[in-house]
Amino acid sequence: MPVTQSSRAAAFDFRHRERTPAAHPQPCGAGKPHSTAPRPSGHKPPALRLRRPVFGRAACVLALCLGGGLLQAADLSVSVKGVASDSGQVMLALYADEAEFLKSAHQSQRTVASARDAQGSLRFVFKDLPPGRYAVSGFHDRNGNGELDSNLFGVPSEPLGFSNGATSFFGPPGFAKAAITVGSVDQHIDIPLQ
Amino acid sequence: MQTQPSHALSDPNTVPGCARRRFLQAFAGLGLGAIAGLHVQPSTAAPSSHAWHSSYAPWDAPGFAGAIETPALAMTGKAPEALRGSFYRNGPARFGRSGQRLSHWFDGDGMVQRFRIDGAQVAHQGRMLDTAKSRAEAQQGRFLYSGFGSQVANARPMLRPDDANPANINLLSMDGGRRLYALWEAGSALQIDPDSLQTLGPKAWSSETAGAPFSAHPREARDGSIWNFGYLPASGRLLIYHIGADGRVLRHRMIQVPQADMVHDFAITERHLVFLLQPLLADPQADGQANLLAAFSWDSGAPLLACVVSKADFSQRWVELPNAGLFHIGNAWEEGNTLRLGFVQHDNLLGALRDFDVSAGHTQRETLGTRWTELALQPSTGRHQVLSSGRSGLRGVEFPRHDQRRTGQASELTVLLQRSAAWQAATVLGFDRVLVLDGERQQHFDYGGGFLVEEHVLVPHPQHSDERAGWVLGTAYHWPSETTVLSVFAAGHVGDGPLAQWRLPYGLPLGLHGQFVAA
Repeated sequence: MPVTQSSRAAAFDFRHRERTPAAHPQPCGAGKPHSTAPRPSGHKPPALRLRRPVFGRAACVLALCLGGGLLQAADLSVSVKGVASDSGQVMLALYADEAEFLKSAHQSQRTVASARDAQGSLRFVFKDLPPGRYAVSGFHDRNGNGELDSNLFGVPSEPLGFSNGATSFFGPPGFAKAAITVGSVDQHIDIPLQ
Repeated sequence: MQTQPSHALSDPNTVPGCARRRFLQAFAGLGLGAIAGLHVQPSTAAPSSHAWHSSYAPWDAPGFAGAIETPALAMTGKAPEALRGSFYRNGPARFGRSGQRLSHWFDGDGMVQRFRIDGAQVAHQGRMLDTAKSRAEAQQGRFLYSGFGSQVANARPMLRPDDANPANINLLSMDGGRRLYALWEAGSALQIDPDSLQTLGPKAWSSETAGAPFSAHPREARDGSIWNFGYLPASGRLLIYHIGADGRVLRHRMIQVPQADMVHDFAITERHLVFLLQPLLADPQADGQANLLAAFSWDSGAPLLACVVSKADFSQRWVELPNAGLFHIGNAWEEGNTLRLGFVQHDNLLGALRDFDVSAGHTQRETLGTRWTELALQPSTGRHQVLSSGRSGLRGVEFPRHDQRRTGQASELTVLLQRSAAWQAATVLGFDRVLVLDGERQQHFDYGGGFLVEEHVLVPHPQHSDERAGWVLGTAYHWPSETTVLSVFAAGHVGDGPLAQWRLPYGLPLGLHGQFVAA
């Protein structure tokens, strides 16, 4: 008899890949410039790409989707908590809809784990986001290979976390559980790594 | 964690020592004949929860240092001279920490028991498993995971199974007993020292399979190699392992299959693996901080799917069976293009899962809704035949065992536990009878009032190939005296009662599965 594939199988193959091309992003906060190996392209083409001037603090915007809501754009600052060691890097991805969740980051940032503070936190900022629903995932890439390592079932072997502290069993939560609403006011969220 | 063995569980004043001595004396005076003749209903004077609570209370008591032993057990009867080896058992033991309680049977931290049997001499050792979970929880001073069916306040989400792995279901012995592993099912096997029972650490069979689930029911093929599988709820896949007798992975393969959200057991035959995939479905978006049981639902309109996997190329063929649930499969074998197997069929598997509440210790149901079912599958046509289902009173059964020398080939004896008719109206959760099927015939032994019977295994006679020449071996917990007894029966004559029994001065935590390793 034909075997119906479980629709859940795909969800367990999630990889926290940064889909945007290597642009030697500046680390956020203090820290040395971090050079990256060439990354495969294949990100979702943005409606408009803007090259932003770099200010005193880092801005790691790699693609920006502009809509009519520019005047209402807000900053989303993210504290990644529980970075337990200095090894490797911490990678963060912002998703703007369910279709791209954990497949293709709307924006992504990374920084060396050694930039963590005394409490093991790292702060990132996604600037000027148009209003909407966004989900954020982050992980500690301890071995610096740019990927969320996992076992054969896709169970991650490196610490990771999601906005809203969203969880599900043995795999990633859905976009809806992780999504937060960005309005016209700057906001801050925590992502505890687990 | 302290590891020095101690004879005493805790302050003797905190347990009913006087009462226990009286029971033991009464026990000694009864003799085997009287024990065999007891047909007393479980006492309604002792609350039904006492039976289960009392078996677990010693293991979270402050005085328990993690290990216990008795060098020589008192014996009655006559032990078979040729019975030599170690009977290991595994099961949940610790359910309390800092005032918190785990309620579900599957969630207690694992503890391994060893009965070292040398003819008449039997020694006991028991030791808590040292898992990542128990270490983290000891450090934090509280339970951290709700696990399968419990509810822990401020629980961590169960993202990585090995973080929450209590290793509490079964054991695997390899290399003539030199290597021993405590098994869970949603995470890694845990290697332990077969002599001291100390935990050595999680087992990675290969770098690729490290950290992947390894089921509690591996099966040894005739050539000494081990077949096993792993599942993960809501993954849509099974991982198959074929491990050589030397412990190295020969092959592994992920297959994509439906209805694999809880797969506890499987069977092997000469050329195939057989999975019975039940429609117990996990909601992949269930809250990771709640327990896993809350994520499950049962699809009563879906079939039980028999998935027959070729050992040669892992190709799959399917047979649709009527809706049913299960935990355990007995033996299976091929007869031409037909595949024969027996399994314990559950008519309300999800209800049974919800019923294993050891904090209550009683069952909501009067009957255990199971029956022994024998099937003939024809994978080439997708057809099947139900050879028998609940025949001759084979209802209210569980924990099937067969002669492991015959795994995958035609075998004759099946050992089962049963909740007898005398107990069906009682409220204590558990079994009172051990039963042996031999073709159309069966024999049984009723332990009688106050006993909760645990899995009994078939032990082959070292010099005889006839299954009936061996023994049936198992434990039972006597809750009025809070002591555990080990019994050995002639495999062909269980109805005659035990050949010998050995009594512990304490009770063991009501556990799950065990293995006999010949000396």
